Amino acid sequence: MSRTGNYDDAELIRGLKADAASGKVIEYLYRANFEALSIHIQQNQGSRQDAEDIFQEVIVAFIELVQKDKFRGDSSIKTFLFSINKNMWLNELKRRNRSVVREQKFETAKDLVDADSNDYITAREARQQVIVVMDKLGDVCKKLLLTFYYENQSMKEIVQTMSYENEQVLRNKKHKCLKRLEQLLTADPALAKTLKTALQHEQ
Amino acid sequence: MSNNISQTERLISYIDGDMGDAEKILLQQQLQADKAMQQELDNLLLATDVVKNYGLSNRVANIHTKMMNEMAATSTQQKAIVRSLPKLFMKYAAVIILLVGMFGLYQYFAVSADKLYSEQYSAYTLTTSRGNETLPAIEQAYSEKKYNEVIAAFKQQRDASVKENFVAGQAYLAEANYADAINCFKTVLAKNSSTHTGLLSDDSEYYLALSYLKNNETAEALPLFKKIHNNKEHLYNSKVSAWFLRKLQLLSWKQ
Repeated sequence: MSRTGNYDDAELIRGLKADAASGKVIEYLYRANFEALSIHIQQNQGSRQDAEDIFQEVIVAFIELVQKDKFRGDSSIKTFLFSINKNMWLNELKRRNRSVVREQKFETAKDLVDADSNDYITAREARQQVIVVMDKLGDVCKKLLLTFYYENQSMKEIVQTMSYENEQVLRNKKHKCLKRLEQLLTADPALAKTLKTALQHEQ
Repeated sequence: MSNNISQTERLISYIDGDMGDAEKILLQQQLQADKAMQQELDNLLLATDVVKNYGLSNRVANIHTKMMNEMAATSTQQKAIVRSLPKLFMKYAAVIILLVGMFGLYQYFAVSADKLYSEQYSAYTLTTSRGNETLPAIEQAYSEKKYNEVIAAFKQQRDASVKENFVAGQAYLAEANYADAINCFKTVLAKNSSTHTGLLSDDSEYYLALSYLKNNETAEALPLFKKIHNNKEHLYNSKVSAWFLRKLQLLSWKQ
């Protein structure tokens, strides 16, 4: 297992798998990798802002991958992040419909270190759709679902911080909120398919 | 409807891990048989993934902002340090170059044969090894600073000795007749050369060089002064410094 500065890869993976992922570990990923990955984008028709935006998506995609136990660890984290970064940038260039020559050049240069990094190239587009659909839920449902499913707080903890009569009332509310979100997704099959591909890595 | 709600609640309980083992096995069997139920489970799982992705994206976005600010500040500091060091160095270098240049220019314009001659010249004092014996007339006259008498006596000599030539050279120098002083000192050196002796040779070389300098023949003076400077054994070596040679060089460029 290779070592990346203050944390080795195993420690980084453990930190990212922890509830909501360790902020220190995410910050470390930025410090250890951003500049190197940024150079690749800036040397390939991208701006500093492009590099920042792509890196943010790279980190989100990588953490999801780790949390779903889909990072196989065939390469080091650094190499894997570089691979996701490269593929996301290629996808972004395609999206911007830039010159065919440049696309071909990038296609041939595509990194084959970790094939599963390619699954995440649609994450950027999906993110915008996630924001839209979550906003449709309303603040109460959004907060309740985030607290339970992202922050992994128990019903007992949530009932103390949010003004619900008891756990059952809270549980019923959470069920309704999740069902509402499910309905928003199923109401738009194309959206559901895109998000399924992006978030669950189904082709 | 109540069945649907009940099914949804069961599926959510299954997702949340709130189900007992027996109930879980029963539900899994139902899922295998009921495609619509499996589809609803998939959709609910997708909904939880959307929530997790939203939470994670927001968390990373907050850290992203913080990290970009931190990196920008670090980068600015590093750039400032990297930029300020050469800048400071260049400033000092420019000041030093300017001062050196100004000093060089001052030296160039200030240097003159008269100045250099005044710095170096001191009247030669005759030494005698004869105790209280009477000095030859020419030397006596020189000791009394009667330079015209020295010159007159020298001119009457048919074959002046090395010393008489040297003393006459000193008298000519004192009387500001540099051309004749040059001849006298050259004669001393020529005579020594022909007789393979070194009487007053070092003195003559030094005063010959001074005579050339004062007579604005710097090109002739320079090699003589260099020779004296380079010869540690020369009697006048300590009088010809490297700094004096630099000024002499400046003077030769000026002329």
